[in-house]
Amino acid sequence: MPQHPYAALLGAGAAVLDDSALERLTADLGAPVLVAVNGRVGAGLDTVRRALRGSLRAAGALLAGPGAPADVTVYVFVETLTPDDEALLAGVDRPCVAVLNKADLTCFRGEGPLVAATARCRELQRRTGVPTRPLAALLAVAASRVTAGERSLIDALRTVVACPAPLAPGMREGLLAELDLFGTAIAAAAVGRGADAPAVAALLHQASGISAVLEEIDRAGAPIRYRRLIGALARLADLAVGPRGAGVAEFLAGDAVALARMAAALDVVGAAATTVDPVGAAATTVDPVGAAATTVDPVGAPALRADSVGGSVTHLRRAVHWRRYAQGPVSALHRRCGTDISRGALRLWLQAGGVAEAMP
Amino acid sequence: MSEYRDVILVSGPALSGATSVADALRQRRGGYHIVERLGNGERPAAAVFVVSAAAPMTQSDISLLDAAAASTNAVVAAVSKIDVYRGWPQVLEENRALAASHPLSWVGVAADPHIGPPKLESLIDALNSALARERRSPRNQLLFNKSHAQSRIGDRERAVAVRQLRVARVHLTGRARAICASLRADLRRDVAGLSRRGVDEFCSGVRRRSARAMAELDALLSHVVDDLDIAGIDIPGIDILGIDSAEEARPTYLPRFGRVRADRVTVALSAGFGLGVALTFGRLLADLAPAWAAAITAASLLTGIGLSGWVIRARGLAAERAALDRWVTEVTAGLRTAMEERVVMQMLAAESAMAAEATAGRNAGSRIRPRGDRP
Repeated sequence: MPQHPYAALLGAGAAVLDDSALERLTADLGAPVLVAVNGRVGAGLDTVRRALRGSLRAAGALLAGPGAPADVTVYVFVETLTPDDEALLAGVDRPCVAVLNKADLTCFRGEGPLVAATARCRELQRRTGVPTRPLAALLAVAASRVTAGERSLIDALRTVVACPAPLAPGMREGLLAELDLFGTAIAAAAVGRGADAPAVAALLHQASGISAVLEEIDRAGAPIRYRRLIGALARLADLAVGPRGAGVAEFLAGDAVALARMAAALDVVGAAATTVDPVGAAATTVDPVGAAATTVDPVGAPALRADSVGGSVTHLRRAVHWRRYAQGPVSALHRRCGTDISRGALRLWLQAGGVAEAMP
Repeated sequence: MSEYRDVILVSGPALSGATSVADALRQRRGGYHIVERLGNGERPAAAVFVVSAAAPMTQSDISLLDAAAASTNAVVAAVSKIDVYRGWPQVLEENRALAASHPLSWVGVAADPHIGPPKLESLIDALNSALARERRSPRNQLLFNKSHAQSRIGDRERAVAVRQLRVARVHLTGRARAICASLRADLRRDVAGLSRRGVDEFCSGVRRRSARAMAELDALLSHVVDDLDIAGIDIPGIDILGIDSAEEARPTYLPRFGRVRADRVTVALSAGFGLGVALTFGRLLADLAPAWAAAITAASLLTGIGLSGWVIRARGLAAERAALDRWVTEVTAGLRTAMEERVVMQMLAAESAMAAEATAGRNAGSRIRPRGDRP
């Protein structure tokens, strides 16, 4: 099992850094990305916050308090972007993810609400350039409650399935408030087929679309994590001149740092890609500043997995590719990322047995 | 009267369900022509403003409601998709509060429901009562016509007006340049034949003529603005914009005859020339008639001095003409800038008057500003 580059970095750092420096590095690398949720009034902001609160922590992010400075903005809207929404989105100066909430009520015809909502999001994303994902926050909240072991929802669903007619008004209202129409329909159908609580929770979680939203937030946070890593390493450079300077300098120039920077940089360029095929097919990416459309190297996206399988030639080719990318018409951030990936790939190439030839 | 009574306008923001409501009303209210967009000059008998029950209205929705309410008093606001959004009563109440400035009746509709039967009865009831109310006390048609014709400019009229303004700007700027170019050509021709005595008179003549050129432009401006007077907008004339044309047109400095050094050089060269002529002719004549040598020397010297004086004067005049020529070019360039500024100011005033009128027309559909009531 390959070690995460950050863990490898901390492991290598533990050998040379003193306690306070190591602690600070650990804190810098582990600091959560702060996410602010705002958007259209009445679009279900509170529900979205509740849905995100638990899941964000697992993704290394944290919900920022109202008014607190945040790294990523989640903009919540319903149905479609009004001119007001578009003006606000255009004015956001940090990474942003637009979320079409109440996606479970988009359309009850054709292929259902989620497909319709996804298509609408794609169209809106094409128009605004802001990553846009559908979300049924209510279902995500219900899924987490079922997972937490709350029985009332499952009991109500079983009652509905067993004998819908005499459903107590309170129970009916409760079901609608917690799952709404679409959620009740799919959950009741699942319970009717004999699904247990974990299966219902998984179904609701999947139907809510929250995974795609979290993925998008994670992608939006990649440049922030990259900048934090660069900042933390820059602060360590101050120690490289101290009494134990030689060790720190060696650490900073070592493979662990180069590979960690490469991993963070790959996250950034992967985040900018509109579609990065996980199996490594070439995909078109758009630079966040729209400077240039380029191509993610077939071996670029899953680069870290290619550590052992990719031969030395693959690493060298990747290094050349990203070197060329960094020299192309890309933003300053991407230029740095390209350089870091290229450097990391060269380290991997050396590790895989590549021999640097002297210039004639 | 009946042709405008026939139309019911159904409008709303994107994805609000206005089209479904319009389709449903077409089936239920055969006697009316249901449209989603008004033709030019068309006036609806009633308007239905549709907004989705997904969330309360935004500011852009409220502007659309204002636009719908500008054309008629009989407006019914409908919260749509109430079959899907269970929280519609709260949304309806919030919308009612947001649109408190409009005396509207708010209803919930499900025109093309995904769940259950269509719910349109309350909308039709509200529409009927609004139409009946409008029939009892219609909005003053004369007032509407006047306000429509004079105060509120439709989109097409605005587009035409904006185009006219642009054409006028290009035309006026071109005219200003032509006026300045011909003035400069005239003045330079005059400079070329100027005598030393005429310089002062020429300088005051330049001022007079630039003031006259500015007056010519002003006349042209007011003429064009009168032509531009679209749909009763009062465009303020350039005369009340606080710019005095005479001040603008006056050259702020006199020609600079920086001649001290040039004069010394001219004097030295001319003296050399005169001396040379005197010596050459004096010696030639003295050789021919040695008896008259003293008289010839004196006459040659006098001729030399006279020649020097003449060359100095001629050089001085040429230098003054060159300075005046430069001055004329600068003055006409300054005049051209001033003229172009005036044109731009006037066009800006016209544009802002038009924009203000459009906003006023949108905000208060019934305001009247009779034409000919200019300040």
